[in-house]
Amino acid sequence: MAVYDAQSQNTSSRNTRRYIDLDLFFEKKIPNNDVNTITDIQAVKRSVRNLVLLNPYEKPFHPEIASGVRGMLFELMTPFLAAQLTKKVEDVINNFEPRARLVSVRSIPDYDRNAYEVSVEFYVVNAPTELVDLTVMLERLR
Amino acid sequence: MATNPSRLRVTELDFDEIKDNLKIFLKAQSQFKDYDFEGSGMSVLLDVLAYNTHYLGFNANMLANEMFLDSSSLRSSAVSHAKMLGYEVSSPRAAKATITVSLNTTAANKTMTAGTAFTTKVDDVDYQFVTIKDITASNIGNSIPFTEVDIYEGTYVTTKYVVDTSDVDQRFLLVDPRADTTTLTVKVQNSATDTTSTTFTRATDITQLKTTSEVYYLQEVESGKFEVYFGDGNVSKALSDSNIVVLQYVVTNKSAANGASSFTSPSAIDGVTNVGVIVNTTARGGAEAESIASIKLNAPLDYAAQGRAVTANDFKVYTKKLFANTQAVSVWGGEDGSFNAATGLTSSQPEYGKVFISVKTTTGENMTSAQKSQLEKDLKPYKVASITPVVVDPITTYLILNTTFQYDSNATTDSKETLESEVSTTLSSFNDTDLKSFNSVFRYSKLIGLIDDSDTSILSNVTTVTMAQYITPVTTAPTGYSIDFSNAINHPHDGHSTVLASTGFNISNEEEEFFFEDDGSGNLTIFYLVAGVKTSYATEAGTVNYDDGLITIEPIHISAISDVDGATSTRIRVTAIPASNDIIPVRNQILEIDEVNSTVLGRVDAAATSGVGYTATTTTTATGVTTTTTVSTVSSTPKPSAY
Repeated sequence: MAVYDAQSQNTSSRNTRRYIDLDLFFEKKIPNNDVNTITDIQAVKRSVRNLVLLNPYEKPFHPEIASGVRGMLFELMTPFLAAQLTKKVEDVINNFEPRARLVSVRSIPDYDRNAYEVSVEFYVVNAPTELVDLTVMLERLR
Repeated sequence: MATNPSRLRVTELDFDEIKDNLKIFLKAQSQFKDYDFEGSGMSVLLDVLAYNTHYLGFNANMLANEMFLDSSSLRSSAVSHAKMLGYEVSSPRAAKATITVSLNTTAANKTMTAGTAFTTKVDDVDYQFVTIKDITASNIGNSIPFTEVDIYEGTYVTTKYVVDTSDVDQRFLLVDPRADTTTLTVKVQNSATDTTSTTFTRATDITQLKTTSEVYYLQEVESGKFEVYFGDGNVSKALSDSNIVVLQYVVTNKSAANGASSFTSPSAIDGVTNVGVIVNTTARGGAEAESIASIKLNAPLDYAAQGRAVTANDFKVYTKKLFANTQAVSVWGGEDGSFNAATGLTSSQPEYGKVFISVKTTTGENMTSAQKSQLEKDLKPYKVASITPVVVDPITTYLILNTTFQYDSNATTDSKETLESEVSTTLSSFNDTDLKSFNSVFRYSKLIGLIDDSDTSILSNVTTVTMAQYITPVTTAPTGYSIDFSNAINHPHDGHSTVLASTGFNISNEEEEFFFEDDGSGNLTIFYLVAGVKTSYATEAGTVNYDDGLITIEPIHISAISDVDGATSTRIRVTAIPASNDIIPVRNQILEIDEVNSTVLGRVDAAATSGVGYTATTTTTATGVTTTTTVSTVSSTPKPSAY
């Protein structure tokens, strides 16, 4: 029998909408070998990560849905570029992830490893009490 | 998943709409909810699904388009559909010239081999013209003439294939898409050791073939190349293993060398170095391969004609096919009009048993008499037995327009000259798009509307139309001439003022410069000027039929022609004011705006900029200055008409 919204809310500890997404890591669900799902904060974190790593034209017919940070990783590393990178990450999250209320984005250049450590802090709108910190290591691959 | 399949719509083909439909479909379930967020995993999955559907939808749409001649956009598809209708698509055509070559030698015989190259220059670019046949001629007193040899612009190419019947994919291709298939010769050599060769001819009528007929078939294949193929031993002769197929043809630069008029011979022909070349006809006929648009138009018409020219439309199709330089054709049957070869005019008088064909060429020049008789000859196999095709030159009637437009100088920053040039451009593009072809009617109101629309500041325009035609006088003997405008000339009443005019000419044994005009009563008169005053020379030099627009000039010995438009000319221009502003071309008539003599004049509109009709009066009194503005209406007095 179909599970209706009221019933699914009743199983939740909160009286808010739950986010449920497909797990793109495709790990096996132990009880029934079905595809795994991810929920709430984890789902939003994955979504933010996906957006940050998207390059223009990777999404069919929508080149505007992308951060375009990949191209910047091949530029000369400077604090100025780190600030630009921060701006791009902020833009993509603000524009395309309405579930995340962004608090801050920091890009810390790691000159020795030719990488940026991008840390994103945000609240998930249906769980406003918990500050989420997502750290992504951006490193160019040739 | 709990879904409602009835909500999944399948009518959309656009990526975004497909994705939206999938989202609507997913709304009915609760396992996955994040499909509407662009960063989510579900969104990635929907992207893949929607992209896949879009891709297949596009593919199906493209496939459906290419399945029909009307909607196909790939050349190979259009050609394939045309083939199903039995239509032969024409290849590029090489420019062809005819020359007479003479070898100054005492030898008895000499042979000019196929591929002998003559060079020429067109617009400072070198081109070569080649012969496509071996020609042998004999000596006639110290020289060997090769008379009227056809030479084709391009490179003479030979392609050989060894037949391998075990290779099912073997094809005999003309390797360059610029090959002119009319120059193609196909020979089949028995084998590498047995050099006996047979020339195959092109199959035209399958009902005439036997199992031993030595014919080849031709079709266009991918990327505009042509393929030669042969029979299977039942329909016509088949090839066997180790036969060598030899294809010889000209690869051409198409229309680039049209107009070449002088040719340099190669340093030696068959060992003779003293070579003379005389040009019989200059190079013409070079053309691009048939366009997709032309294939789409002509293939169904050709199929409808079923290999026979019966209706006027059939003749149009065959003329385009047989004379590659055709830009437009007008065809009328003898019941609709006739052609008088002596006057060069057509009339509505029926002349049964003939069909008249008028061709406007892509070069703009009239067809030569050799081309006309060739076309008449080429049309013979298709025509109905009792009908004679007659090729007639088109007659161009020029329209001289005098345009005066009023504009609001407050509504534009452009100068008067800029606006005048915009109007001239409008006239020029109207000329190219709406005129210059058969049956293209000059619609006056359409043109004046376009002039008004040339710029937003243009308020109105007054445009007058004058028709003009040229006659080329014979300066050696008295000759009569006729000019047919085929449109009524302005003649409101007998004795009306003159409506005809001409450029100047001289008459044998007279000193003055003469001009034609009409007397307003149907007579053509000739006058000359004495200190700027018209003096009559002849009062009945011909007749003017105002209703039919026909001017007949009685035999007159014109000895010289005055300059026309500031340049020496061999023609006299005769102009007439038409009765109607709409000019309708008939039969072989083509209308064209004479852009050189048309004038365009801009004027600032007084009413729009200063307010004509208002008068400001200033009165000085003891108390000061009073300005009174009064509205005055210009009274209109009824006048008799100018006519």
